[in-house]
Amino acid sequence: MNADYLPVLLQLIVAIGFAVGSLAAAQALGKRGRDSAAKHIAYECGKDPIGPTQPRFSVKFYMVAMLFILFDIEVVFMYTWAVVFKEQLQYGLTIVVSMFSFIGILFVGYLYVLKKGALDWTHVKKIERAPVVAPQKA
Amino acid sequence: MPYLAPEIILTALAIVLLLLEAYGAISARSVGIWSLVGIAVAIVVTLFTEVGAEPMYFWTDPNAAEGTAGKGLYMWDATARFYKLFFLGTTGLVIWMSMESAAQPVGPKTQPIRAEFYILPLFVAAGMCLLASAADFMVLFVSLELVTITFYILVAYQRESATALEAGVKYLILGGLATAFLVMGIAYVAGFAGTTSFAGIIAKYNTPDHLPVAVALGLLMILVGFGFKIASVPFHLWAPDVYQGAPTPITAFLSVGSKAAGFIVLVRVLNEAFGPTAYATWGPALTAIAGCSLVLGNFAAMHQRNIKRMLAYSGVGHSGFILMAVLSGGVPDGPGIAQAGMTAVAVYLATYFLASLTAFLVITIVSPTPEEESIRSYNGLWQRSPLLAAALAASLISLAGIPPFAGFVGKLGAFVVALQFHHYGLFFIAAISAVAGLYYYLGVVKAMFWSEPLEVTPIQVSVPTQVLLTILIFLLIATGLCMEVFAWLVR
Repeated sequence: MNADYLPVLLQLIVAIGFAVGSLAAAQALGKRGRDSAAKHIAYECGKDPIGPTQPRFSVKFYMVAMLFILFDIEVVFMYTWAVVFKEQLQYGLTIVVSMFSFIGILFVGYLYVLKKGALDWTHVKKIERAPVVAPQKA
Repeated sequence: MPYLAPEIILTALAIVLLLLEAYGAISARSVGIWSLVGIAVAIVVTLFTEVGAEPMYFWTDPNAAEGTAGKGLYMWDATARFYKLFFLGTTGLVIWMSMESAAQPVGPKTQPIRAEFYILPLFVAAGMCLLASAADFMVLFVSLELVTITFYILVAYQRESATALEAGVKYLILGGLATAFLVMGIAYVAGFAGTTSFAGIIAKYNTPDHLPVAVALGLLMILVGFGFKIASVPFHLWAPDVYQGAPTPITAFLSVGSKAAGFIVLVRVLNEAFGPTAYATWGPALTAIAGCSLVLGNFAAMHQRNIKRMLAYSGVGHSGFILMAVLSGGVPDGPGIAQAGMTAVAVYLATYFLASLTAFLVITIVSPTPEEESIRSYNGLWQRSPLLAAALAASLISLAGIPPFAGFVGKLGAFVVALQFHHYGLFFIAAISAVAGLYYYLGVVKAMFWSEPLEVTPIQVSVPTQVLLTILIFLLIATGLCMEVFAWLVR
């Protein structure tokens, strides 16, 4: 019975060990105390950084990333579905109906995204935006 | 009526409305009206679905080995029906509140109420209805996530306001953490039981022995996940900020719908998935949680100056009272939770539903902007609108648990269960907390009737909302006087 808990114990040890280990390694290997202003500027291939180091990205990039994940996950479900599809057909059409209703709902989501202009990159409304001010260097 | 009908009606309606709105064929206001119609249809369908003496199960796996699979994924019994009606009623009133706040003038930074604000609650309602019928951890998790993820969007709806963004981020991160605990707990339990079905788990672990350590650990982790949903101490930290930052109708939805959703899954899991022997694990944990919630919720609410924050802390306190009713297990050979406890939970939630939603409806009308949410804005409300003042007074006195109102029945039930199951310490704490509750609830009532108003302009209330408020006041008093109503509701 107690052997059953071995994986749990292992997981605990690995989790704690990783956290403690990386902190300890940073403590042991890192050179502390040699702090200078140059260390606090952003690293840009060895050169002094030009312009703001945390520029603002257009929200469209986030939109595309989000939608990609949403519609990409759909394929994950389809893989597992495809594996059992043929075998489950003998129990009736439930397996077909469930997948197609799922895709149908996703399709509605796609139409919604399309109509709301989330995929539209060219027709952008002009938005008044505060000028981006470069942060002062330390 | 076929099973799953309410969920299918709500989801199909939401999808159709989403498409119609995207193609510009329908205005936001008519989306709201159609949502109300859809909820009314779902309520009628649920009411007319037969409930047998034994729970009915659906979606049984036909080719599962004997004893491994449960009876099914979805169960239909009196409890499921009661909570489905509860959630549908909550959603209906929340959509009504949203339409009420859509009629108010918008500030420069306020988002106008768009069609999605009516459509998303339909998805939440579908998730909650599914939750009420879950007979398997898979269904439980998926429907709980449908509810939670939709709430993430709704909470951060006023995205131009800093408090709304803070609320959104806080709810997202703490919600994600709670979900992680829940999944981890389910993984431990399912890993050891070999099944995710409630019936399968109880068949394996309803023995006189104690639960194996890992299963007990899993159960406690699951309780953390549910503790977040019901906003109980120490998993309540999100509640005040999120309640304050979210739009008022959504605050109402969180405080009634989401809390009740947490409680239905809590009693379902403790009752259907774990038997009386598991009480040794969850009994002490929930006793501590209930005691802390009672004390912290009620005493922290005293110092609040914002009415939504006050109701958030008082909601934490109410979770404590309801947990007191949940703590009615541990009888050898009995059910996980005694019938008396189940009834007390349902009755308490029903009275909380009436009182809390009435209060939030009034707050939606009186406080259209965050600046007007301070309790001082309610000074002299009686002179500005007698109906609103009367409704808020009735709901607050009911929440405090003073006899002629509904809330008294709920509190009475919880206290009786605590005595019946010998939780004397908890009983004592709850009695003190209830007295502390009187102080802050009656403080608002005093401000409404005996303080000079900051401004004297009368508040206009539309005729349908006047009728609704009158009905709610009537129900608050009538159900308080005639307790048999509840016996009929939960039969």
